[in-house]
Amino acid sequence: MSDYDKKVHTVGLISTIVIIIALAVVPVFTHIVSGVDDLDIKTTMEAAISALAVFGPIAIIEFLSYAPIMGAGGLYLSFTTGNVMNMKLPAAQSGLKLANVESGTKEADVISTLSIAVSSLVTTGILFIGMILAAQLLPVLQSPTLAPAFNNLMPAIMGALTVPIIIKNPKTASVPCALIIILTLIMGYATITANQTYILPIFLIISLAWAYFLYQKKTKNGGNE
Amino acid sequence: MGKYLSLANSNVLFFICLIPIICVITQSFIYIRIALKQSKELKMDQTVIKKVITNSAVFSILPSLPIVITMAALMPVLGKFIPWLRLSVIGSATYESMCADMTITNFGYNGLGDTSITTSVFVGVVYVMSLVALVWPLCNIIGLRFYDKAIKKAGSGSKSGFMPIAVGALFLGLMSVMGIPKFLNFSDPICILVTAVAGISVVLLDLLSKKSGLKIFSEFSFPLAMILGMFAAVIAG
Repeated sequence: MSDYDKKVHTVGLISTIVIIIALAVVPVFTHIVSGVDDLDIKTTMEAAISALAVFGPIAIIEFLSYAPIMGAGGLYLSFTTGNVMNMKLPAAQSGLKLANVESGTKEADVISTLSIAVSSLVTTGILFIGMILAAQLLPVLQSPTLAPAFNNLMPAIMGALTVPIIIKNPKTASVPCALIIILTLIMGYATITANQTYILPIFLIISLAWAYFLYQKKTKNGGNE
Repeated sequence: MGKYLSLANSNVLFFICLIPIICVITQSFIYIRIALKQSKELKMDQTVIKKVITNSAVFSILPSLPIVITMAALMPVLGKFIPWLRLSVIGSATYESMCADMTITNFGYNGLGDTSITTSVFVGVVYVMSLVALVWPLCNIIGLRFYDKAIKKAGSGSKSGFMPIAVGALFLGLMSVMGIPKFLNFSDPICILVTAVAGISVVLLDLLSKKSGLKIFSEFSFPLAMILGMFAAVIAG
Protein backbone atom coordinates (compact mmCIF):
# COMPACT_ATOMS: atom_id res chain seq x y z
CA MET A 1 0.00 0.00 0.00
CA SER A 2 1.17 3.52 -0.79
CA ASP A 3 1.75 6.14 1.93
CA TYR A 4 -1.46 7.87 0.87
CA ASP A 5 -3.47 4.65 1.19
CA LYS A 6 -1.96 3.99 4.62
CA LYS A 7 -2.90 7.53 5.71
CA VAL A 8 -6.46 7.11 4.37
CA HIS A 9 -6.89 3.91 6.36
CA THR A 10 -5.27 5.27 9.54
CA VAL A 11 -7.44 8.40 9.48
CA GLY A 12 -10.47 6.31 8.50
CA LEU A 13 -10.04 3.80 11.31
CA ILE A 14 -9.37 6.38 14.02
CA SER A 15 -12.11 8.80 12.96
CA THR A 16 -14.66 6.00 12.49
CA ILE A 17 -13.93 4.59 15.95
CA VAL A 18 -14.31 8.08 17.45
CA ILE A 19 -17.63 8.59 15.62
CA ILE A 20 -18.89 5.14 16.68
CA ILE A 21 -18.10 5.93 20.32
CA ALA A 22 -19.64 9.42 20.06
CA LEU A 23 -22.83 7.98 18.53
CA ALA A 24 -23.03 5.02 20.94
CA VAL A 25 -22.78 7.41 23.86
CA VAL A 26 -25.86 9.42 22.73
CA PRO A 27 -28.48 6.86 23.89
CA VAL A 28 -26.51 6.23 27.09
CA PHE A 29 -26.40 9.96 27.99
CA THR A 30 -30.05 10.34 26.95
CA HIS A 31 -30.91 7.46 29.28
CA ILE A 32 -28.98 9.01 32.17
CA VAL A 33 -30.39 12.53 31.64
CA SER A 34 -33.95 11.20 31.29
CA GLY A 35 -33.82 9.56 34.73
CA VAL A 36 -35.63 6.54 33.28
CA ASP A 37 -35.09 3.51 35.49
CA ASP A 38 -37.66 1.15 33.97
CA LEU A 39 -36.36 0.77 30.42
CA ASP A 40 -37.74 -2.45 28.93
CA ILE A 41 -34.39 -3.91 27.87
CA LYS A 42 -35.92 -7.09 26.46
CA THR A 43 -38.27 -5.22 24.11
CA THR A 44 -35.51 -2.79 23.12
CA MET A 45 -33.19 -5.72 22.27
CA GLU A 46 -35.95 -7.43 20.27
CA ALA A 47 -36.48 -4.26 18.24
CA ALA A 48 -32.73 -3.92 17.71
CA ILE A 49 -32.43 -7.54 16.54
CA SER A 50 -35.37 -7.09 14.13
CA ALA A 51 -33.77 -3.96 12.69
CA LEU A 52 -30.38 -5.69 12.47
CA ALA A 53 -31.92 -8.63 10.62
CA VAL A 54 -33.12 -6.18 7.94
CA PHE A 55 -30.25 -3.71 7.80
CA GLY A 56 -27.29 -5.96 8.66
CA PRO A 57 -27.24 -7.79 5.30
CA ILE A 58 -27.89 -4.48 3.50
CA ALA A 59 -24.86 -2.91 5.19
CA ILE A 60 -22.61 -5.86 4.26
CA ILE A 61 -23.77 -5.93 0.64
CA GLU A 62 -23.35 -2.16 0.31
CA PHE A 63 -19.86 -2.43 1.83
CA LEU A 64 -18.82 -5.12 -0.68
CA SER A 65 -20.43 -3.30 -3.63
CA TYR A 66 -19.41 0.30 -3.01
CA ALA A 67 -15.78 -0.10 -1.92
CA PRO A 68 -14.31 -0.71 -5.41
CA ILE A 69 -16.43 2.11 -6.87
CA MET A 70 -15.90 4.80 -4.21
CA GLY A 71 -12.45 3.96 -2.92
CA ALA A 72 -11.44 3.58 0.73
CA GLY A 73 -11.56 7.28 1.62
CA GLY A 74 -14.95 7.67 -0.03
CA LEU A 75 -16.32 4.66 1.84
CA TYR A 76 -15.03 5.74 5.26
CA LEU A 77 -16.76 9.09 4.73
CA SER A 78 -19.96 7.65 3.24
CA PHE A 79 -20.53 5.09 5.97
CA THR A 80 -20.24 7.69 8.72
CA THR A 81 -22.55 10.21 7.08
CA GLY A 82 -24.97 7.95 5.23
CA ASN A 83 -27.31 8.85 2.36
CA VAL A 84 -24.98 6.94 0.04
CA MET A 85 -27.14 6.12 -2.99
CA ASN A 86 -28.98 9.46 -3.11
CA MET A 87 -26.02 11.71 -2.36
CA LYS A 88 -22.49 10.39 -1.92
CA LEU A 89 -22.28 8.01 -4.87
CA PRO A 90 -23.76 10.53 -7.35
CA ALA A 91 -21.47 13.25 -5.95
CA ALA A 92 -18.44 11.00 -6.50
CA GLN A 93 -19.53 10.05 -10.03
CA SER A 94 -20.25 13.64 -10.94
CA GLY A 95 -16.76 14.62 -9.74
CA LEU A 96 -15.11 11.81 -11.72
CA LYS A 97 -16.93 12.87 -14.89
CA LEU A 98 -15.98 16.51 -14.42
CA ALA A 99 -12.33 15.69 -13.73
CA ASN A 100 -12.30 13.21 -16.63
CA VAL A 101 -10.40 10.58 -14.65
CA GLU A 102 -10.62 6.87 -15.12
CA SER A 103 -12.28 4.80 -12.37
CA GLY A 104 -10.01 2.65 -10.24
CA THR A 105 -7.02 5.00 -10.52
CA LYS A 106 -5.20 6.98 -7.81
CA GLU A 107 -6.65 10.18 -9.24
CA ALA A 108 -10.16 8.71 -9.06
CA ASP A 109 -9.61 7.93 -5.38
CA VAL A 110 -8.69 11.57 -4.72
CA ILE A 111 -11.65 12.97 -6.68
CA SER A 112 -14.07 10.55 -5.03
CA THR A 113 -12.81 11.40 -1.53
CA LEU A 114 -12.94 15.16 -2.17
CA SER A 115 -16.43 15.05 -3.71
CA ILE A 116 -17.87 12.96 -0.89
CA ALA A 117 -16.23 15.02 1.86
CA VAL A 118 -17.57 18.28 0.41
CA SER A 119 -21.01 16.72 -0.10
CA SER A 120 -21.00 15.62 3.56
CA LEU A 121 -20.21 19.14 4.75
CA VAL A 122 -22.92 20.75 2.59
CA THR A 123 -25.57 18.23 3.68
CA THR A 124 -24.63 18.63 7.34
CA GLY A 125 -24.90 22.40 6.99
CA ILE A 126 -28.28 22.24 5.25
CA LEU A 127 -29.62 19.81 7.84
CA PHE A 128 -28.53 22.16 10.63
CA ILE A 129 -30.35 25.07 8.95
CA GLY A 130 -33.32 22.77 8.33
CA MET A 131 -33.40 21.78 12.00
CA ILE A 132 -33.44 25.43 13.09
CA LEU A 133 -35.95 26.60 10.47
CA ALA A 134 -38.08 23.45 10.12
CA ALA A 135 -41.34 25.21 10.94
CA GLN A 136 -40.71 27.89 8.28
CA LEU A 137 -39.24 25.61 5.60
CA LEU A 138 -41.66 22.72 5.72
CA PRO A 139 -44.68 24.47 4.12
CA VAL A 140 -42.48 25.46 1.16
CA LEU A 141 -40.78 22.08 0.77
CA GLN A 142 -44.05 20.20 1.07
CA SER A 143 -46.04 22.49 -1.24
CA PRO A 144 -48.17 20.61 -3.83
CA THR A 145 -46.20 22.33 -6.63
CA LEU A 146 -42.80 21.11 -5.46
CA ALA A 147 -43.88 17.74 -4.09
CA PRO A 148 -43.65 15.89 -7.48
CA ALA A 149 -40.08 17.16 -7.86
CA PHE A 150 -38.90 15.84 -4.49
CA ASN A 151 -40.91 12.63 -4.85
CA ASN A 152 -38.97 11.94 -8.07
CA LEU A 153 -35.49 12.81 -6.87
CA MET A 154 -34.21 9.22 -7.10
CA PRO A 155 -35.47 8.65 -10.69
CA ALA A 156 -33.78 11.94 -11.66
CA ILE A 157 -30.48 10.88 -10.07
CA MET A 158 -30.66 7.36 -11.50
CA GLY A 159 -31.48 8.60 -14.99
CA ALA A 160 -28.60 11.08 -14.95
CA LEU A 161 -26.17 8.37 -13.79
CA THR A 162 -27.41 5.40 -15.83
CA VAL A 163 -27.80 6.73 -19.38
CA PRO A 164 -24.28 8.20 -19.83
CA ILE A 165 -22.55 5.08 -18.48
CA ILE A 166 -24.49 2.84 -20.86
CA ILE A 167 -23.77 5.08 -23.85
CA LYS A 168 -20.09 5.17 -22.90
CA ASN A 169 -19.80 1.36 -22.60
CA PRO A 170 -22.56 -0.21 -24.69
CA LYS A 171 -20.85 -3.61 -25.11
CA THR A 172 -20.09 -3.98 -21.39
CA ALA A 173 -23.58 -2.75 -20.52
CA SER A 174 -25.34 -5.11 -22.95
CA VAL A 175 -25.56 -8.26 -20.82
CA PRO A 176 -26.41 -6.77 -17.39
CA CYS A 177 -28.92 -4.35 -18.94
CA ALA A 178 -30.61 -7.05 -21.04
CA LEU A 179 -30.85 -9.33 -18.01
CA ILE A 180 -32.34 -6.72 -15.69
CA ILE A 181 -34.84 -5.65 -18.34
CA ILE A 182 -36.00 -9.27 -18.76
CA LEU A 183 -36.10 -9.77 -14.99
CA THR A 184 -38.09 -6.57 -14.43
CA LEU A 185 -40.59 -7.41 -17.17
CA ILE A 186 -41.12 -10.89 -15.71
CA MET A 187 -41.11 -10.10 -11.99
CA GLY A 188 -42.43 -6.53 -12.07
CA TYR A 189 -40.90 -3.27 -10.87
CA ALA A 190 -42.21 -3.60 -7.30
CA THR A 191 -40.63 -7.04 -6.78
CA ILE A 192 -37.30 -5.97 -8.25
CA THR A 193 -37.21 -2.82 -6.11
CA ALA A 194 -38.09 -4.74 -2.96
CA ASN A 195 -35.27 -7.23 -3.60
CA GLN A 196 -32.65 -4.86 -5.02
CA THR A 197 -30.21 -5.48 -2.16
CA TYR A 198 -30.16 -9.23 -2.87
CA ILE A 199 -30.13 -8.95 -6.67
CA LEU A 200 -27.27 -6.44 -6.62
CA PRO A 201 -24.35 -8.77 -5.73
CA ILE A 202 -25.44 -11.20 -8.48
CA PHE A 203 -25.45 -8.44 -11.07
CA LEU A 204 -22.10 -7.11 -9.91
CA ILE A 205 -20.62 -10.57 -10.50
CA ILE A 206 -22.34 -10.91 -13.90
CA SER A 207 -21.17 -7.46 -14.97
CA LEU A 208 -17.61 -8.14 -13.83
CA ALA A 209 -17.48 -11.56 -15.50
CA TRP A 210 -18.84 -10.19 -18.78
CA ALA A 211 -16.39 -7.27 -18.72
CA TYR A 212 -13.53 -9.70 -18.09
CA PHE A 213 -14.67 -11.89 -20.98
CA LEU A 214 -14.69 -8.87 -23.32
CA TYR A 215 -11.29 -7.76 -22.00
CA GLN A 216 -9.73 -11.19 -22.55
CA LYS A 217 -11.24 -11.35 -26.05
CA LYS A 218 -9.84 -7.91 -26.90
CA THR A 219 -6.41 -8.79 -25.46
CA LYS A 220 -6.24 -12.05 -27.42
CA ASN A 221 -7.32 -10.33 -30.65
CA GLY A 222 -4.78 -7.61 -30.01
CA GLY A 223 -2.10 -10.26 -29.43
CA ASN A 224 -3.01 -12.13 -32.61
CA GLU A 225 -2.75 -9.06 -34.86
CA MET B 1 -48.46 15.67 23.77
CA GLY B 2 -45.79 13.32 25.10
CA LYS B 3 -43.91 14.40 28.21
CA TYR B 4 -40.77 12.90 26.67
CA LEU B 5 -40.74 15.75 24.14
CA SER B 6 -39.47 18.19 26.77
CA LEU B 7 -36.41 15.91 27.06
CA ALA B 8 -36.28 15.39 23.28
CA ASN B 9 -36.20 19.17 22.66
CA SER B 10 -33.95 20.08 25.61
CA ASN B 11 -30.64 21.94 25.36
CA VAL B 12 -28.88 18.99 27.00
CA LEU B 13 -29.95 16.69 24.19
CA PHE B 14 -28.84 19.30 21.64
CA PHE B 15 -25.30 19.21 23.02
CA ILE B 16 -25.30 15.40 23.29
CA CYS B 17 -26.30 15.18 19.61
CA LEU B 18 -23.86 17.90 18.55
CA ILE B 19 -20.77 15.87 19.52
CA PRO B 20 -20.99 13.10 16.87
CA ILE B 21 -21.93 15.71 14.25
CA ILE B 22 -18.81 17.73 15.07
CA CYS B 23 -16.78 14.49 14.76
CA VAL B 24 -18.23 13.85 11.30
CA ILE B 25 -17.49 17.44 10.19
CA THR B 26 -13.91 17.10 11.47
CA GLN B 27 -13.47 13.82 9.58
CA SER B 28 -14.61 15.50 6.35
CA PHE B 29 -12.15 18.37 6.77
CA ILE B 30 -9.27 15.98 7.48
CA TYR B 31 -10.03 13.97 4.36
CA ILE B 32 -10.28 17.12 2.25
CA ARG B 33 -6.83 18.11 3.49
CA ILE B 34 -5.36 14.66 2.75
CA ALA B 35 -6.97 14.47 -0.70
CA LEU B 36 -5.83 18.00 -1.65
CA LYS B 37 -2.26 17.17 -0.62
CA GLN B 38 -2.36 13.97 -2.68
CA SER B 39 -3.81 15.83 -5.68
CA LYS B 40 -0.75 18.11 -5.63
CA GLU B 41 1.63 15.14 -5.32
CA LEU B 42 -0.09 13.50 -8.31
CA LYS B 43 0.30 16.82 -10.16
CA MET B 44 -3.43 17.04 -10.80
CA ASP B 45 -4.74 20.28 -12.33
CA GLN B 46 -5.75 22.40 -9.32
CA THR B 47 -8.28 24.35 -11.39
CA VAL B 48 -10.09 21.08 -12.02
CA ILE B 49 -9.87 20.22 -8.31
CA LYS B 50 -11.56 23.55 -7.43
CA LYS B 51 -14.29 22.80 -10.00
CA VAL B 52 -14.83 19.33 -8.48
CA ILE B 53 -15.28 20.92 -5.06
CA THR B 54 -17.73 23.51 -6.39
CA ASN B 55 -19.61 20.90 -8.41
CA SER B 56 -19.99 18.63 -5.39
CA ALA B 57 -21.19 21.50 -3.19
CA VAL B 58 -23.74 22.69 -5.76
CA PHE B 59 -24.94 19.18 -6.55
CA SER B 60 -25.49 18.35 -2.86
CA ILE B 61 -27.98 21.16 -2.20
CA LEU B 62 -31.06 19.75 -3.96
CA PRO B 63 -30.81 16.12 -2.76
CA SER B 64 -30.42 17.45 0.82
CA LEU B 65 -33.91 18.99 0.74
CA PRO B 66 -35.90 15.70 0.81
CA ILE B 67 -33.73 14.69 3.78
CA VAL B 68 -34.78 17.94 5.49
CA ILE B 69 -38.41 17.00 4.80
CA THR B 70 -37.88 13.56 6.39
CA MET B 71 -36.18 15.19 9.36
CA ALA B 72 -39.04 17.64 9.77
CA ALA B 73 -41.55 14.76 9.53
CA LEU B 74 -39.78 12.90 12.36
CA MET B 75 -39.52 15.98 14.60
CA PRO B 76 -43.09 16.07 15.96
CA VAL B 77 -42.60 12.50 17.22
CA LEU B 78 -38.93 12.33 18.17
CA GLY B 79 -38.19 15.98 18.94
CA LYS B 80 -35.83 18.28 17.04
CA PHE B 81 -32.45 16.82 17.85
CA ILE B 82 -32.58 13.02 17.45
CA PRO B 83 -33.80 13.19 13.81
CA TRP B 84 -31.16 15.87 13.15
CA LEU B 85 -28.47 13.63 14.61
CA ARG B 86 -29.65 10.51 12.89
CA LEU B 87 -29.93 12.02 9.43
CA SER B 88 -26.55 13.76 9.75
CA VAL B 89 -24.62 10.75 11.07
CA ILE B 90 -24.92 7.37 9.33
CA GLY B 91 -28.29 8.58 8.12
CA SER B 92 -30.81 7.40 5.60
CA ALA B 93 -34.40 8.58 5.40
CA THR B 94 -35.70 5.03 4.89
CA TYR B 95 -33.65 3.54 7.70
CA GLU B 96 -34.52 6.15 10.32
CA SER B 97 -38.27 6.03 9.64
CA MET B 98 -38.37 2.21 9.56
CA CYS B 99 -36.20 1.78 12.63
CA ALA B 100 -38.20 4.23 14.74
CA ASP B 101 -41.49 2.71 13.56
CA MET B 102 -40.31 -0.86 14.28
CA THR B 103 -39.23 0.05 17.80
CA ILE B 104 -42.35 1.99 18.75
CA THR B 105 -44.56 -0.81 17.37
CA ASN B 106 -42.53 -3.38 19.32
CA PHE B 107 -43.39 -1.49 22.49
CA GLY B 108 -47.08 -1.94 21.70
CA TYR B 109 -47.84 1.50 20.31
CA ASN B 110 -49.25 2.49 16.93
CA GLY B 111 -45.87 3.12 15.35
CA LEU B 112 -44.16 6.28 14.20
CA GLY B 113 -46.54 9.19 14.76
CA ASP B 114 -47.79 7.98 18.13
CA THR B 115 -46.86 10.75 20.58
CA SER B 116 -48.44 8.94 23.52
CA ILE B 117 -45.20 6.98 23.98
CA THR B 118 -43.50 7.25 27.36
CA THR B 119 -40.06 8.65 28.04
CA SER B 120 -38.87 5.07 28.58
CA VAL B 121 -39.99 4.11 25.06
CA PHE B 122 -38.35 7.23 23.63
CA VAL B 123 -35.06 6.19 25.25
CA GLY B 124 -35.51 2.70 23.74
CA VAL B 125 -36.04 4.25 20.29
CA VAL B 126 -32.86 6.30 20.65
CA TYR B 127 -30.92 3.16 21.62
CA VAL B 128 -32.16 1.16 18.63
CA MET B 129 -31.78 3.96 16.05
CA SER B 130 -28.26 4.82 17.20
CA LEU B 131 -26.82 1.36 17.84
CA VAL B 132 -28.16 -0.54 14.80
CA ALA B 133 -26.76 2.18 12.49
CA LEU B 134 -23.27 1.31 13.73
CA VAL B 135 -23.25 -1.81 11.55
CA TRP B 136 -22.20 0.31 8.55
CA PRO B 137 -19.05 1.88 9.99
CA LEU B 138 -18.26 -1.41 11.77
CA CYS B 139 -17.99 -3.04 8.32
CA ASN B 140 -15.30 -0.49 7.53
CA ILE B 141 -13.46 -1.05 10.80
CA ILE B 142 -13.51 -4.83 10.46
CA GLY B 143 -12.96 -5.30 6.75
CA LEU B 144 -12.12 -2.27 4.65
CA ARG B 145 -8.36 -2.32 5.08
CA PHE B 146 -8.14 -5.96 3.96
CA TYR B 147 -10.76 -5.57 1.25
CA ASP B 148 -9.05 -2.47 -0.17
CA LYS B 149 -5.69 -4.29 -0.15
CA ALA B 150 -7.28 -7.22 -2.04
CA ILE B 151 -8.88 -4.85 -4.57
CA LYS B 152 -5.59 -3.08 -5.19
CA LYS B 153 -3.70 -6.38 -5.43
CA ALA B 154 -6.26 -7.67 -7.93
CA GLY B 155 -5.65 -4.55 -9.98
CA SER B 156 -1.86 -4.74 -9.97
CA GLY B 157 0.66 -6.61 -12.11
CA SER B 158 -0.68 -8.29 -15.24
CA LYS B 159 -4.26 -7.36 -14.37
CA SER B 160 -3.58 -3.62 -13.91
CA GLY B 161 -5.06 -2.84 -17.32
CA PHE B 162 -8.31 -4.51 -16.30
CA MET B 163 -8.72 -2.56 -13.05
CA PRO B 164 -10.37 0.60 -14.47
CA ILE B 165 -12.58 -1.62 -16.66
CA ALA B 166 -13.51 -3.71 -13.59
CA VAL B 167 -14.52 -0.66 -11.56
CA GLY B 168 -16.53 0.65 -14.52
CA ALA B 169 -18.21 -2.75 -14.86
CA LEU B 170 -19.11 -2.79 -11.17
CA PHE B 171 -20.66 0.64 -11.49
CA LEU B 172 -22.56 -0.54 -14.57
CA GLY B 173 -23.81 -3.53 -12.59
CA LEU B 174 -24.96 -1.20 -9.81
CA MET B 175 -26.73 1.17 -12.22
CA SER B 176 -28.36 -1.68 -14.11
CA VAL B 177 -30.07 -2.79 -10.86
CA MET B 178 -30.78 0.67 -9.43
CA GLY B 179 -31.45 2.64 -12.60
CA ILE B 180 -32.80 0.49 -15.45
CA PRO B 181 -35.94 -0.73 -13.60
CA LYS B 182 -37.03 2.90 -13.24
CA PHE B 183 -37.51 3.02 -17.02
CA LEU B 184 -39.92 0.11 -16.64
CA ASN B 185 -42.01 1.42 -13.73
CA PHE B 186 -45.22 1.27 -15.76
CA SER B 187 -47.39 1.97 -12.71
CA ASP B 188 -45.77 5.41 -12.39
CA PRO B 189 -45.34 7.07 -15.82
CA ILE B 190 -43.92 10.22 -14.22
CA CYS B 191 -41.04 8.13 -12.84
CA ILE B 192 -40.29 6.89 -16.38
CA LEU B 193 -40.53 10.44 -17.74
CA VAL B 194 -38.21 11.88 -15.08
CA THR B 195 -35.63 9.11 -15.52
CA ALA B 196 -35.66 9.53 -19.29
CA VAL B 197 -35.51 13.36 -19.19
CA ALA B 198 -32.61 13.34 -16.72
CA GLY B 199 -30.73 10.70 -18.74
CA ILE B 200 -31.23 12.40 -22.09
CA SER B 201 -30.42 15.82 -20.58
CA VAL B 202 -26.94 14.67 -19.50
CA VAL B 203 -26.18 13.47 -23.01
CA LEU B 204 -27.55 16.65 -24.65
CA LEU B 205 -25.69 18.92 -22.21
CA ASP B 206 -22.43 17.12 -23.02
CA LEU B 207 -23.13 17.50 -26.75
CA LEU B 208 -23.99 21.18 -26.26
CA SER B 209 -20.73 21.66 -24.40
CA LYS B 210 -18.73 20.09 -27.26
CA LYS B 211 -20.54 22.11 -29.96
CA SER B 212 -20.46 25.46 -28.16
CA GLY B 213 -17.08 25.06 -26.50
CA LEU B 214 -18.67 26.14 -23.21
CA LYS B 215 -17.35 23.64 -20.66
CA ILE B 216 -19.80 24.72 -17.97
CA PHE B 217 -22.57 22.60 -19.58
CA SER B 218 -20.46 19.49 -19.30
CA GLU B 219 -19.01 20.28 -15.89
CA PHE B 220 -22.44 20.79 -14.35
CA SER B 221 -24.31 18.36 -16.59
CA PHE B 222 -25.18 16.03 -13.75
CA PRO B 223 -26.82 18.52 -11.35
CA LEU B 224 -28.46 20.33 -14.30
CA ALA B 225 -29.87 17.07 -15.67
CA MET B 226 -31.18 16.18 -12.24
CA ILE B 227 -32.95 19.56 -11.99
CA LEU B 228 -34.41 19.16 -15.49
CA GLY B 229 -35.70 15.70 -14.57
CA MET B 230 -37.32 17.01 -11.40
CA PHE B 231 -38.74 19.96 -13.34
CA ALA B 232 -40.32 17.50 -15.78
CA ALA B 233 -42.07 15.93 -12.77
CA VAL B 234 -43.47 19.33 -11.75
CA ILE B 235 -44.75 19.98 -15.30
CA ALA B 236 -46.22 16.48 -15.68
CA GLY B 237 -47.67 16.57 -12.15
